[in-house]
Amino acid sequence: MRIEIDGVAKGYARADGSRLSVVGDLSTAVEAEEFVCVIGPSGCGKSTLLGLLGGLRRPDSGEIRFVGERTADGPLTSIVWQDYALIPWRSIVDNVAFGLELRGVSARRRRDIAREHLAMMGIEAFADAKPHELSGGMRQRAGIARALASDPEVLLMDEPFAAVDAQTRTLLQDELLQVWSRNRKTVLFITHSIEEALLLADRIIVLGPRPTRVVEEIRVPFPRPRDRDVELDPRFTELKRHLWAQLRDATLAAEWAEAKGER
Amino acid sequence: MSESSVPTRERASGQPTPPVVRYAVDPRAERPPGRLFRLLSSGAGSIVPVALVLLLWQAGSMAGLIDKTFFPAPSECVQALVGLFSSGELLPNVGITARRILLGFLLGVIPATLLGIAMGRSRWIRVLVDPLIAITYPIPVVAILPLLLVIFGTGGRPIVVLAGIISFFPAVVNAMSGVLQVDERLILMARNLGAGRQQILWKIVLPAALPSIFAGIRLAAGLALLGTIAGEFLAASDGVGSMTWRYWQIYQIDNMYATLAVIAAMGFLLTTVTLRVQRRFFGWTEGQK
Repeated sequence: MRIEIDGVAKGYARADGSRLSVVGDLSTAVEAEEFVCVIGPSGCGKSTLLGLLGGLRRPDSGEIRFVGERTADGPLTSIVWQDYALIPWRSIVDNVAFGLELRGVSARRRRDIAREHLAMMGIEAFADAKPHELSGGMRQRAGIARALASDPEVLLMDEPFAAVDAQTRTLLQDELLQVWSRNRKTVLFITHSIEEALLLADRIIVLGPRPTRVVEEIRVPFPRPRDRDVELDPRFTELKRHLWAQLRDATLAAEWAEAKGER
Repeated sequence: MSESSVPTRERASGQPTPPVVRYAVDPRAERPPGRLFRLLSSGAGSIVPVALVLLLWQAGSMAGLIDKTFFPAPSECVQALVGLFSSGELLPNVGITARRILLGFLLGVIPATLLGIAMGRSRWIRVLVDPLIAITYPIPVVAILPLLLVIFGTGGRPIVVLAGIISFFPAVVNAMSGVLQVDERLILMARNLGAGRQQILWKIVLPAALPSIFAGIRLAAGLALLGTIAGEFLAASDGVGSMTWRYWQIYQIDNMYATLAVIAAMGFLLTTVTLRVQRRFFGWTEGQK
């Protein structure tokens, strides 16, 4: 499904009663089956945007629309969380089956589906383990398996690889590319990493500092199927430099704002 | 470093030997526990210190170092215990006390847990009930026993109510804080996947709060025992607590000790059983965070 974000604004009440505007009049769209990465300075409201898209918060003004025929059985979106958000007392397979359980799929059927997705992520051996027994990378594979097993229209990914080490992160990026090429969902992927965005995305949306607006949208020119060799393409370096120039000033501004307590 | 180990090349070049500094690592820092320590720290080994104290007590008593009128020897206490048991006095009273503990415990814990969960889930209930708990919690519950005697008359009922009130507080406080401390991210995760309020309660909040709820229930069990015994001291003619009190009044110190040992055993049983249950069902809380 296509996502239309139409003039969305969202703020929060500060402790002193004043209002902090986090997302201000944001408009953009994500096409069906498109892979879009969102980058922006830290604290710019990326996570707030994700909460709005994931149906967890309501915008103060504006509207978010999901347009098109429904093609999946599950929820509109499912989120892959930076800190995994696995249920600690459940086994991995029952974590992955959680979305199916919520909509009443029988125990047997949802376990089968969950195991298929664990196999797809290469972690079926850990089906009966508890989350705390697994490494960060394994947990995030389970997080992705849960999101896909729930069968959403749109996959929302909130800096999913930020908490794992650099080597594992590389592996997970490659695996995500492979999985996505076989199961094309609309993906909105939030990241801090310009390289990650250039590797994964069809299009990159650059957000500005608070109150967040779209600064720029860039189409990533590398053909699919894609692998790490795109980093050798001279356009990769070119785009990386350009995006960093966009982000640098905003990041500095955000750091100063944070230091002055405008958080 | 001895002189001969200095490299000859340095000496040949005529340069002074650079100073060498080494850490002197305390060897105790990495010494593994010895066999005796491992024996003592095992489950069965924990009997050893207890046995040692009893042994010293017995020896001191036999040697005349300990005044038998206050501290009769363990052997005499055991004899007294056997006497109470075989005369048929002990077991019925143990049954009466155990029943009061159980009833008081259930009377306190069931409403407390339900209320605590409701307080955790609803800020309205919390804001209305929290002040009531805050002002009643510090009252030593035993102080209201006279009031309970006025309301419920004599016999077992005021004692059960006392045990109930005393075990109410830790259960309600722990249930509430357990619900409040549920990882907010898990709730967001469930909502994103389409969970309703009921599903969030049953599939996320209650399982997550269960270890804390159970910790409150464990404390409540101990306090139900305390409340029951205190109540029996002061306001009962039956039960183990009243036996202890009576043997103190008629100055049969060995019988008094025997009943104390029975109370201690009941407390130990309660603690051990609840701890086992906790380890069995909430093992997943270990190894997290």
